[in-house]
Amino acid sequence: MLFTYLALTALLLAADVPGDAAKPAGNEDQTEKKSINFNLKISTKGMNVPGNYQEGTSKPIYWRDILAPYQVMGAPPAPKVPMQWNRYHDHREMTEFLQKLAEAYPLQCKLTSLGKSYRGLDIWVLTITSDIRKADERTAMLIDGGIHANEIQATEVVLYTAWYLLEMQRQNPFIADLLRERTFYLIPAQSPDSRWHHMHLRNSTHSPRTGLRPRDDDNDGLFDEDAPNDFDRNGSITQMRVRDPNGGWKSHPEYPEVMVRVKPGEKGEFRLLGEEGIDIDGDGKINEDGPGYYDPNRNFPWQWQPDYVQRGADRYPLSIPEQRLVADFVMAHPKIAGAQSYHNTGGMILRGPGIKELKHDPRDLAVYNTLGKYGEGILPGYKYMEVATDLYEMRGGEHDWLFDMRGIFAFVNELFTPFNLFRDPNTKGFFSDSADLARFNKRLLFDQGFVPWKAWRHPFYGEVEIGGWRKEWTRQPPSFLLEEECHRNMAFTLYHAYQMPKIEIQKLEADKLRDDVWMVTATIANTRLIPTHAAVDIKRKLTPPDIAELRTSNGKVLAGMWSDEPFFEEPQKNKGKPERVRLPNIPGENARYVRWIVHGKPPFTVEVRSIKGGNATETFEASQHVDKRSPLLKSIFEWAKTRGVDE
Amino acid sequence: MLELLALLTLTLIGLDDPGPLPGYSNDQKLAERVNKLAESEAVRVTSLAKTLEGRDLWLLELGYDEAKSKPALLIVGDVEPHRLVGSEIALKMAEDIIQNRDDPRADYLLRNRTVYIIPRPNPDGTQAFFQKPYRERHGNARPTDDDRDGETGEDGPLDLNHDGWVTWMRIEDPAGDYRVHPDDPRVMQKVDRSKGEVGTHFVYREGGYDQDEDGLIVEDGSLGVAFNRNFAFRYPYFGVGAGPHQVSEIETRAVADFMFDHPNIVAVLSFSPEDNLMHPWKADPAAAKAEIKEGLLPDDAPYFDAIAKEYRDILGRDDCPPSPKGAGSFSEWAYFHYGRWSFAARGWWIPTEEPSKVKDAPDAAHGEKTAAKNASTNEPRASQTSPEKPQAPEPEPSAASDAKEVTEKETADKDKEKDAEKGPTKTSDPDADRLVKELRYCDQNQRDAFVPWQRGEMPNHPELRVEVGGIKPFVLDNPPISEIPGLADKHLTFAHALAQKFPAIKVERKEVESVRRSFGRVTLVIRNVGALPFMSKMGQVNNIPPTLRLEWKSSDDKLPIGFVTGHARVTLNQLGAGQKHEFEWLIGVTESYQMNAQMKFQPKPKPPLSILLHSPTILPRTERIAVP
Repeated sequence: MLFTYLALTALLLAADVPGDAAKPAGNEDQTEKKSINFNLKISTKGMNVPGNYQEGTSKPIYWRDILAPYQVMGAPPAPKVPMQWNRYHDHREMTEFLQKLAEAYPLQCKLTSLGKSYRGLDIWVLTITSDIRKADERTAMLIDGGIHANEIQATEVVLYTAWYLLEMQRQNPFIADLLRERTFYLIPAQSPDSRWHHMHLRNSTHSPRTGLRPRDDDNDGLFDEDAPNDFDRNGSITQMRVRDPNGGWKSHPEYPEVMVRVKPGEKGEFRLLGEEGIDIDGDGKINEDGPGYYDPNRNFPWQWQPDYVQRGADRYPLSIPEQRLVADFVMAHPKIAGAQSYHNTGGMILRGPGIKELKHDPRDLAVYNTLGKYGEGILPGYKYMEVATDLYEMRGGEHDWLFDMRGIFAFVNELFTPFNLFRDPNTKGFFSDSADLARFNKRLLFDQGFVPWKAWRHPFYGEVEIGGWRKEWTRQPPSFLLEEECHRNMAFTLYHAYQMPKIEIQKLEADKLRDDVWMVTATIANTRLIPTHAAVDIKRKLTPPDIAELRTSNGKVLAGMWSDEPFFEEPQKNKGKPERVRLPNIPGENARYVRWIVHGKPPFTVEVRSIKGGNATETFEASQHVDKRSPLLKSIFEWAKTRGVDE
Repeated sequence: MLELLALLTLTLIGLDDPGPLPGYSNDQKLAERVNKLAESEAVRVTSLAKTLEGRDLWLLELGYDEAKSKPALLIVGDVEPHRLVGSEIALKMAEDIIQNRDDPRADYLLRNRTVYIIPRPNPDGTQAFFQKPYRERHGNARPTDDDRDGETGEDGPLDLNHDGWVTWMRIEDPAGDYRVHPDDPRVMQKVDRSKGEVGTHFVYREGGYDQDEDGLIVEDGSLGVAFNRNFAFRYPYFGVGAGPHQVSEIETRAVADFMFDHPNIVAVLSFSPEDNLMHPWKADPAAAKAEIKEGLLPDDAPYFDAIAKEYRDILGRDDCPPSPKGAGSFSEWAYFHYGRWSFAARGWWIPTEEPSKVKDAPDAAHGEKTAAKNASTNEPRASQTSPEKPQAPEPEPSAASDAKEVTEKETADKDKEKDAEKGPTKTSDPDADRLVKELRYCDQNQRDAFVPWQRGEMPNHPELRVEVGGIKPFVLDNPPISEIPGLADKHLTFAHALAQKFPAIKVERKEVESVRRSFGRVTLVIRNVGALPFMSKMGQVNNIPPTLRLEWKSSDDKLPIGFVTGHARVTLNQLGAGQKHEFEWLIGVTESYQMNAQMKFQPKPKPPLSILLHSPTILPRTERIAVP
C-alpha cells in the first residue's frame, strides 16, 4: 500500500518538476514508471533538490514538500483506462472500453455477455466489487441504460459509473468501503442494435425507441416497409413543411426557424407534414411502418397487457429476447436489492407504480421518498415523481417489474433537464419549450443543432421545405454538459447502493437459567435505510424470509422466538424447527431480536442469513458468560421445566 | 434417504410403466406414432422444443403443399397434462386423416386447409401418468418453491399406503370444512356453514405428511409450472403453478412463438377443462367498452354459439361437468390475446345423466344443417360431401360396445331409480354430488376409481386422526383406450365442420369503365361466402394480421398508372359473413394526367395489369384478377 502511494506520488512529482513538465501524468509506459519509482526513494529522504531552489526566495523548497499535481475534485486524476466523457460512444467503442476496464482491474471486475441481440451484438454486463470472487455473496445494485436506445446518454452514465468506481476505489475510502459491501451489475446498453442504428443510420432524436425485429405495424402483411427517409442526406430525419395560410403554424417571431402554433386571431404560414418521408409501398400512407415497432420497456411482466391496451407491449411479456436476457439475469441474482434504469428526457427521478389504482404501501413509499428527495437535492432541475400520477400510466415497465415482482427498490432517471439550458429555476415543462431550445442553439451551440429549412420536391406533396432539429440535439446534453450529467446521476445511485440493507449482529448474549439450560438472545440490526424485505415483498412472498439460526455442538434447542422490541413482550413463536427462526423482515435502520432456549453448553453460534441483507455470524463463548439471574429468568426456567428439562 | 432411493428405483421402473389405464401412449410410443405419420407426404413433423427433461414437443403439420399459406386450424392435445385423453384424440385424428384420405372430411382438410396438431404440449407433466406412484401433475419439470419459503419441494405428496397411487387424505377435525356425502360414504362433501352444515374433516387431494416439520401439510410439492396457468390472459401472478412470469416456460414460449409466427391460423381447438363448446361463453356487453377485455365480445357471441351448438349436436351428449374459469389458461389466451376463434373441449367425461335425459340423437337434424351450410359455401369439396353421410360413416367396434354399455346402463339406472325414488340428494357442493354420480358410473362399468379410506398415522403428528384413500388420479378424467377411436371420429367431424366455416371470398363483380378519355374507373366487389367473418371482433381489437390485401401489379413491377382515388395497395380488415365490399379506383389513363412526380402516366399500359389478392387466413393461395 505504502509503495503504491509512493509510486503514485513519484509519478506525479516527476511530471510536475519545472523543466520536466512535458511529460503528462498517467501516460508513461511501464519501464519509465519503474525508474521514476527508484528515484523517489532518494527524494523522500528529505534531500534538497538543487534544481528546485529558486534565487531570491528565502526558503528552499524540498522534494518532500512538493505535492502531487493539483487534484481536481471528482474524476480520477490518473486513470488506468483514460476516457473522454464529453462525447458519445458507439457499440464498438463501448465494448473496447469495457474490455480495457476488465483487463486493468481483473480482481475487481468481470465482463460477461448476457447473450446476443437480434443483430448479433453482445449485451454486456460488467460486475464490479472489491473482490470479484465474492460478487455473488454481496448485496447487489443493478444499473442499466439504453433500453430505449435513442436515449443515448443513458449508456454513458452507466459507463461513467463503471469507470469511476474502478478508478477511484484506491483513492477514496467511501468508494472502497462501498465496493467491499456491494456488488454492482452494470448493463450499459440493453438494446445495442438500436443504439448502433441511432448513431450510425439516419434517425431523429426520437428514433429508434423500438428494437429492430421486423413487425407489421400497419397490418398489411408487409414488415417495416415504409420508414422515414433522409432526403437531404444529412444524417437526421427532420420535418417537412409546406406553405399554407390555413396550415395552423407560423415562424417564431424571434427564432424564425422554429415553428409555433398560431393563436386565435393570428394568420398561419405553414402546414407541418411530419417527418421526412414518402409513400414507399403505395398504400396512400407515409411513414406508417418503420423499423420495429415494439417498446422494450412495455414488455416486462408486471401488469402487462397486450398492444391494444398498452402500445408497444409486443406479443407477450418478455417476448423480446434482449429484455428476457436481462430479466433472466436479474432472476438469477436474488441478492439484487436496488436498481436504477436510465432514460431520457426531462429531469425526473421516477418510481412506480405505473398504474394509478395500484398504490404502493406507505412503508415502501417512505423509503422511496427518502431516496428520491436526496436525489432531488443533488440533481438540480430534477423532480422526484410517481410515474402513474405525475407522468402517465404505463404497463409492463422494467422498474415496476423490478419492484412489484422482485421486491427491488428501483428508480428510473429521465436524464437531461431543460433547467440545465440556462439554470433558470422558472424553466417550465419537462421537455422545455422550443424557443428555449432555439435560444440555446443560437447562443451556445452557434446554430449547430438545427438543419436550416430547405426546399425539396416531394412526389406527393409537391414543393415542400425540409428542416428541423438534428438528431443529436434536444433530448441529449451537448458535450460540455454530459460529464456533469454522468457524475451527478452516478452519485445518486451510489447513495442508493449505500442504503441497501446491511445486516449485523449487534449484540449476542447468553444467560444461564439453571445448569445447562441457556437463554441466548441476539440483536440483529439492519444499519441502512432499505429493509431486507419491502412491504410488497412480504405481502407477495417474493423473497424468502431472513433466517437466524442457532448452532450448538453439544445440546438441543428447545424453543426459538423473535420480537420487534428487546423485551420480548409478545414474542413471535417459530413454527417448525426451533433453532431456525424465520424473520419476515428486518426494517431499515431498525433491529429484530431473536431468542432461543437451549439445553446445552456454550459456545453458541448464531448465523443470520438474509438474501438481500447479507450474512452475519457471531459466537458466544463460555468465557463471555456473566451470571445475572433475575426473577424473570427463573420463571422462564419454570417453563423450561414443563418441557421435561431436568433441573 | 431410503425413500429417495426407493423413489429413484420406482422412477427407473416407471419408464416402462403402462400407466394406470392401459393403452395410452408414453413418450416412446408417441414418438413412434408421430414418426409413422411423418412417412406420409401430407405430414411434416417438427419438434418445437426440447423440454427440461429432454422430451420433444411435437408439432404435426397436415396438408398437401404450401401449408403456411393456407388457412389453418390448430389442435392442441392435453393442455392439462393429466388429461391424456386430449393428446390421444388429437393424435388419433391425425392418424385418421392420413389413413383414410378418401374420407371426404380428410380430403377437404388436406386440400383446402392446413391442420397443425400439437398432441402433447407439456410432455414432462404427462410423464407422471407413466410413473409410479401415480400422481396427477399439472406442471412441467421446473423445480418450484410452491409455498415461497426459499426451499424447493420440501413437503410434497406421498403414496402413504404404498399402493402405487397418490390418493386423497382426510383428517378428522371438527374445524374441518368437509363431511361425508349423504348419498355415498366414499365421497367427501364441502360444507356450507351458512346452511347449518357441520364439517367433520379436513381433506387433502393429495396425501402426505409434514415432512419438513413446519406445521403445514403438503404445502410444497414442487409441482412445476403448469402449461395452462402460464399464459398472459388473466394471469394468476404468484399463484402455484403460474411460474415466475407469463410465458416463462420452454413449452409455453415454444407454442406461443409458433402461433405468432403462423398468422394463417384461423381457429384453435384445444382439449382442456375450460370448455366453451358444451358451456359456451356468455356475451359480455360490458367487455365491448372495457379497456381490458375479459368477457366475450357481443359481436363474436353468435358465431361461438353456433359452433358450440354444432359440437353438442355432433357429440350428442349434454351432461358435461361445469367449465372452470381459467387463470393464465391457454384457450382463453388464444381468443383474448391471440385474437383467434378459440374452442376448448374436455373431449371426454364420465356420463352422469341417465341416457333418457340425454338429448335424442340429433343425427337427422345435424345432417340437414350440414347440408344447408354446405350449400352456403362455395368450396367445391364441401358440396361433394353434402349428399354423403356427414358423420362417421361406419360405426367402429368400440362405438358398438359403447352402445351396448349405454343400454346396459340404462336398465341398471332404471333399477336404481325404482330403488331410491327420491333421487340423488342435492348438497351445497355440486362437485361432490357429481363425484357421487361418477363413482356410480365407475361401479357400473367396472372402473376402479376409489381406494377405501384406511386409518394411518402421520409420523410428525401422531395426534391427528388420519385416513388415506379416496379418488385415484387419472381414472375419472380419461376413458378406457377403446373409446378413443369413437371420440376422435366425432372430433374430426367437428374439425371438418369448423374448417368449412372459415371465411371465403368470391369476386362478385369486376368492372372497368372509361370515365372520360383520361380516366378509368375500376370496381371490384367481393363477398365473404364463409360462415365466419374475416376476423373475430377480438382479433380486430388485437390488431391481428392479416387482412385481405389487394395489390395492383404489372408484369414488369412498375405501375404505369396514377391513382386519383384509391391506392396501389389496399387492405380490408373485416367483412362479416355473407357481406360484400366494393373497392373502387379512379385511375389516370392519358398522358396529360400527371398526379405526382413518380407516377407518371403512360398512354397505354403496356405490360398487362392485374390486381393480386393475398390473405393467408382466407385464400389458400394468391389470386390474380386481370384488369383489361
